[in-house]
Amino acid sequence: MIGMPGRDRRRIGEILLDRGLITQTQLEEALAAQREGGGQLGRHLILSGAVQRMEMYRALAEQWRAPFVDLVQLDERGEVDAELILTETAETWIERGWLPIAVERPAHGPSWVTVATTIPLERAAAAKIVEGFGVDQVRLVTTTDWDLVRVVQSICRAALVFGAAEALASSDNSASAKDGLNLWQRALPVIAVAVIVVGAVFDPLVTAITVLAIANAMFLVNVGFKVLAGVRGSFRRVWRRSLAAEVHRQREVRGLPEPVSSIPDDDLPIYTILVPAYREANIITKLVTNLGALDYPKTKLDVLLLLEEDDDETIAAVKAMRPPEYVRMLIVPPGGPQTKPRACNYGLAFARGEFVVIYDAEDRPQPQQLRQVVERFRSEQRLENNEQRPLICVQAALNYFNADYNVLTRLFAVEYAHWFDSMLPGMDDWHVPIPLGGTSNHFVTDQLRNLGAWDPYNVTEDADLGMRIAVQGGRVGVVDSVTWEEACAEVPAWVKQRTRWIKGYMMTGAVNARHPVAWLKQNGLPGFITLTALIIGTPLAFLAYPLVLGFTIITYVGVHVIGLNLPDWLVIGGTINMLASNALMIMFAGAAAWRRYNWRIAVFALLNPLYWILHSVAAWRAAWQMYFSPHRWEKTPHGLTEEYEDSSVVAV
Amino acid sequence: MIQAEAAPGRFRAAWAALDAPATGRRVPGTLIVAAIALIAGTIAAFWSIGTDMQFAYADAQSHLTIARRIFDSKAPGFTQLGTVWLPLPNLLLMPFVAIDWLWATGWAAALLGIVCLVATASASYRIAARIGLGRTARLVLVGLIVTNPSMLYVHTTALTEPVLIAFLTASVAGLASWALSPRELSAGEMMVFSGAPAAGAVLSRYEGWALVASGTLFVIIVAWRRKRSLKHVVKLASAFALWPALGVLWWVSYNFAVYQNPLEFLNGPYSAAALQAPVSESGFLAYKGSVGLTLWAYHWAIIGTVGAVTLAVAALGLIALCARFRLETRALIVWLLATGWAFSLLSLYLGQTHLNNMHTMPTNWWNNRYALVSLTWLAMLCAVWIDSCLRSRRARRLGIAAAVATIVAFAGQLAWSLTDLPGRSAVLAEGAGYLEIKHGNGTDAGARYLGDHYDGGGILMDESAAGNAVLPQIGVPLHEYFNRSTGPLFDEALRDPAGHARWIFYTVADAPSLSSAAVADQVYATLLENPAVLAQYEVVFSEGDIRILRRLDGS
Repeated sequence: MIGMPGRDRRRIGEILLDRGLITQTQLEEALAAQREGGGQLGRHLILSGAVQRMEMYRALAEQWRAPFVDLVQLDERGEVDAELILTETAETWIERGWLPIAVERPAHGPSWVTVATTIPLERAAAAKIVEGFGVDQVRLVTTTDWDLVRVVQSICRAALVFGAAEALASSDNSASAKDGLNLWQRALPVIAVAVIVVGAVFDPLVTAITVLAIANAMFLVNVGFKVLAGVRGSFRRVWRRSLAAEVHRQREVRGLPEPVSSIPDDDLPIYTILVPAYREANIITKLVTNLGALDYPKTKLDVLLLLEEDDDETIAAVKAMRPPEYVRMLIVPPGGPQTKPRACNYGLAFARGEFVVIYDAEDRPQPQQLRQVVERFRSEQRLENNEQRPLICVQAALNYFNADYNVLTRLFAVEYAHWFDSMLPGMDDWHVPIPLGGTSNHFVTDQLRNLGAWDPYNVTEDADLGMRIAVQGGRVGVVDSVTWEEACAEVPAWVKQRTRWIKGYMMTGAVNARHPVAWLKQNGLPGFITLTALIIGTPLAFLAYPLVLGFTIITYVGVHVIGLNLPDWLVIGGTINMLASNALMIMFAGAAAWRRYNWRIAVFALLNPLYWILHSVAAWRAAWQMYFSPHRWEKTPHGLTEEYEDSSVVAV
Repeated sequence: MIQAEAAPGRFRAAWAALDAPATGRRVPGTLIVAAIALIAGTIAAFWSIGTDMQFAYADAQSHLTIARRIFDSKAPGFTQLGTVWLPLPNLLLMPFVAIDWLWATGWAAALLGIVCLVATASASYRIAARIGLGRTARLVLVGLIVTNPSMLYVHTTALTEPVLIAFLTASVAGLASWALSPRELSAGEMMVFSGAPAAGAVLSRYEGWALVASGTLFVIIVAWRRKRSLKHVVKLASAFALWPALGVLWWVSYNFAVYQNPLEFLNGPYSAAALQAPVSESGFLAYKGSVGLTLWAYHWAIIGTVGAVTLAVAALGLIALCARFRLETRALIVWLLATGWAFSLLSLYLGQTHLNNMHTMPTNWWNNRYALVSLTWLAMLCAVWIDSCLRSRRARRLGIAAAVATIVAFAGQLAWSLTDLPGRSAVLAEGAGYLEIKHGNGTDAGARYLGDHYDGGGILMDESAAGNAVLPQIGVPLHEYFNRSTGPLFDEALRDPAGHARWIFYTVADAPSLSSAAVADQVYATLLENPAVLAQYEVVFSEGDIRILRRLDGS
């Protein structure tokens, strides 16, 4: 009735055996792997190298009785009807796994739609296709999943490029950084500077008191937030440790075995890993080693390597290294802004996984990370109630494998240990918005798409997305797993990187503060405190830091040279603020670094006050760029210390 | 059973670590050496405090006092650091002297001293490991440091040498790590691991200033050898010199801010030059301007503190060093340790330092502890000698015999020293002499009397006067005192003692040769000028040179 041919009754393994493409042993091994880890037999055979992808699909074509076609060649010859494909989004076709390539409506005889498929289509599905296209029959041809992606990429190129760059701005411009600062945001700093200058002329004392007091307040608020979050994180850690010990004790008392991983391989979902890389030919070859160490069934890994079209060197390096079958290379078409979030948005369209995560090419996630995240999501799904915001993203901790490479990397490591191991867990417990880190943020794919994904106009798209998740009523959690990254080891590069980050925080703060009252109503006081104390407070604290650090000098010069008579509360309060704030940051950051690494790294927390001077330099650069080049992306070079490894990290 | 088996295993591992090459940042065996130094320092501290030797040197008590009066004084604040001594040792003492008992017993200084001894021994060991010396040589090196009676004693006091030697050695260890690292270490690491300790040395004693020069020269040579790039050389030399330079700048600024004279420490009334002037004018600095007498005086000081055997073996080690390492980086590192030795000689030659022993004129014990700054260098040379003997291929047996003989000689030197500590160590002899004087002239008894009988009220005392530096021994909180460090309050109290002080403590020993403004007792001078004051007080203690008065009204 609908033109579907009957299937070959032989199984795919038998067909491959009959064709002499695999041996009985290879088949049995693949079947054993399938029993253990689930997934399709074909993928196991391809991943094990028993057959080539093309050979597999030719065999499937025989089983499905649907002739194999070279879809890419058909497209190049103009034999694929693009209009049919453009009726739906690229994501839809990738998810369906088949493409309509032609509709024929002869004057005489039945009409039909030709469908190139990568999956076995059931009769019911075929009936729907027939109905959908208003034809009499469906004629199936077989193609590979890679060819299907390439053709979708080719035909949907314009839509994909537009979507990657403009989807968020076109659907909700107020959530995007595309327009930068609005009028009052641009005017505010200018007015502030003008007021200070005028005040300094007419009443230097009041102006000095006001400026110094505000600088101290900004610093105190930001440091206070970080310290309190760290305290909360410490309580959480202690509580969890006690709980785990008690559970362990109870198990021993009752003679119960220790639980093993609660999700069997068979039930693990497909996991998409996005790896954006630009001009990283030097480290891209490490990718396979790093991701290959993940303890997750390879048949359920969907690694998308996102390369820019003009990056010939990295593309060549990837081709030369012949990545395994679970790694796909996607070439992102040129277009502006040429940023990491744009590449990720592009890749997201091709993601097949239930969950999606971003890693950098040099990242070394702990092997259990994906499983831990799946378990966290599944347990949330089981417990989810209406009172709690849904968990949309899980952030893993980022730490550095080259922590003791030089002083800068040590300071960076101390900072990250405090941020990810101490502060974020505390914020997770508070259920306040969490600004995401650059990588290792794991999303529910569908929910990420619904949120509008990453804002390519925001240079810290990760932090922005964390806040947007909160705005949209979702929640970010953290997972106790580490991704080892490479810390920037050179001061000029570090300053550029940090300039981008701080500028991104400024932009994220500005975007979310466009309608502050509405934001407050939507996110409540804790969320508002996060926005002001952390997102907006961090850049402000760094901008104010020279005033705070130099407080004693400034007040001394002010009193003795200019003759300012500063009030005691300001002199004493400012000095205590500077000393206490720095001491607290040193203590908490040092403790976190000691736990994560060792005392040799932790002791460098003592240099935190100097490290913050670098932050301040970056903050002032960022403030300048906010006005004159808000979307400029200063790329951080990677691979400078790729071969180096902190001895303390190896043992972890 | 398991523990019994594990202990030999741990011992074997420790023994192996002491011979392991230094690769990367970690130097195996450092913790073992630190533990040995900790034990040695603790034993020495118990001995010194048990025999009251920790307070023998007046300067030691002065440092404890300065550190305390920063926060415990009628005029507290960082200006209490004064300008006589560089500030870091006193600043480091601060957390320790904050605890009354630690301050009054001298344990505050001993604890800091133990930390310094651990740092010095560990850093020396790390240098030896980095330049490739073997286990025996390393152990000899550490042994010479942690069994030297003079060294151990000084580390139980608040004298500033321990802090200087620790920072100096740590800085050289940092430079050795940088110079011999297979991976090029960054300028930032240079600043932290070499520059920061050098700044510590700079702010501890003026010998540290010489390290800035010698260390920078070392960095220039090694950096140039590595890359032959001027930019690289300038970058690394700047990284090394930045913190010490800032230290110097800060000290000069401090002098300017507090005394309106950036060189107050050099030419002010309390400077070494001012204190040395009467001695120099009396013709007692015979070595000033004489190379021969300088070498003679200083090396006798070395013999009196470091030991004759050590000095002789070090001379052999110097020959071995030149023959074996020539001008290699490893040799330069050892030479770097000679900075303190070179500075001391220069200082003596220029008449900036006053040092007496039994081979100078006059013959007494004075400042021989300055020779201790040479100990790490001399011990390292001894270690080089031992290592060279043991590595000798041509005459292996002879080499082993020479090494064994040397070690036996060291052991004999130590045993000989232990039989009569004050008699064999110039530093201890000087300390014992002071102790004897303080017992004889009533200072000890006076301090004890005031400590025991003090029942409130202000104390007028010129603690800067010769023999009066006993405030820790007295143990009364410093905010009760009117003394020179309280500035105008002291002047007011001198004008009207009874209106301010219930107690007056002074010394009548105002030797004419010492009667400069710096060391003469101003309280005694005031009482001589205005004897009517005495009518308002009763003499409650009078022994030797010390007098203690209590106001008659009893209020």
